[in-house]
Amino acid sequence: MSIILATYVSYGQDTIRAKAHHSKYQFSFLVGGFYKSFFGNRYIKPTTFELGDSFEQHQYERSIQTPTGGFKFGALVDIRMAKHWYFTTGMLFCYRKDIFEYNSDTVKKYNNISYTRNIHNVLTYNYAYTNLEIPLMILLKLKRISLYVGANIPILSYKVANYSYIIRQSYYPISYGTSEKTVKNLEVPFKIYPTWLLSYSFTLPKHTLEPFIGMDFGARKSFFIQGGLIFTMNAKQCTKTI
Amino acid sequence: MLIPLINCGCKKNPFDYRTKYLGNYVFVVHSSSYNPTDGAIDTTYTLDGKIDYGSDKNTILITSNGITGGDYKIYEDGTVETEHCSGEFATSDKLLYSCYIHVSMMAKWSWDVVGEKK
Repeated sequence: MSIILATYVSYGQDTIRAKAHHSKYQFSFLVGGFYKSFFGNRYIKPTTFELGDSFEQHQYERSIQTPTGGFKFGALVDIRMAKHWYFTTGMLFCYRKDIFEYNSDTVKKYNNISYTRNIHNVLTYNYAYTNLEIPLMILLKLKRISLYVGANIPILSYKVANYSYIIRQSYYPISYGTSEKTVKNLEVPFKIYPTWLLSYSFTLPKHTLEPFIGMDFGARKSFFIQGGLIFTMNAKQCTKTI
Repeated sequence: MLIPLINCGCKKNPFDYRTKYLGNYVFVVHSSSYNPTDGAIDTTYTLDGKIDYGSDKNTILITSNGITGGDYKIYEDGTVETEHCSGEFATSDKLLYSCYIHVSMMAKWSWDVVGEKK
């Protein structure tokens, strides 16, 4: 695949890129994958419980976050603001995961283990989000290098939550077991992922191909290292095709 | 045309995790009580009821035979609880919970409820 791509790139014509630079709107497709990691320790330290605090404020304390993978794809539009400056928006589908794991002894120590499934007895929270996200970014284009800085804002999220629980199987002799449950929800998330992308463009006969690297920043010291391709087409050519 | 849609949207928010549990239910209640005068009493009965949004964003309101059972706190995994009751939605159509009240030193009352959506 990479050989074919390299051969195709070798036919590059700078004229296409020049046209693209002078269009008011420039459309592109993005596809990429990412790896979620963390700054510092993945353990979520407990904070002091104040009277009146909700359960949700302390829900993930004493758990360890797990690195995960994900992917994104979608369409972008660059709107030219000044010579090298663009505003980029569009629509992206993103698949992200959050996993919080507890040590089973910690759950037994700090929670009341009941016979029924109960959120206080959760051993692992495993969330998978399929998000519809709107990127809002400022783009600086300098020759072949493009720098995007901004944020991805999820507007709709299909959340699949898998909970594994510790339950007490008998009082005497005391024994514990595990159980699990999956709950699906459509949500409007109140999240924001600050992001940056750095790309280098290769000019092809009809299009521009921009491999990129970048990073999204999430909650609880998490970040998403990402890489992929931005496939750009000239606005005039797009019209012709239609 | 948009006005009725907006109105319906406000009533049942599809993006609220409680929405899938709302509706009309049939509750089968198994009640056990004990007091020194009557001794132990075990009964099972069926009630028509309804589950609606509660007064807070993380509560549901359970009503049976027109009498409100009050707000139940509901967590994201479908676990429900009040001061005397705890249980869970096993699925989005089935609620299981148990309640226990120590009425006095000599009297106690507990009941188990299975609610199924009509």
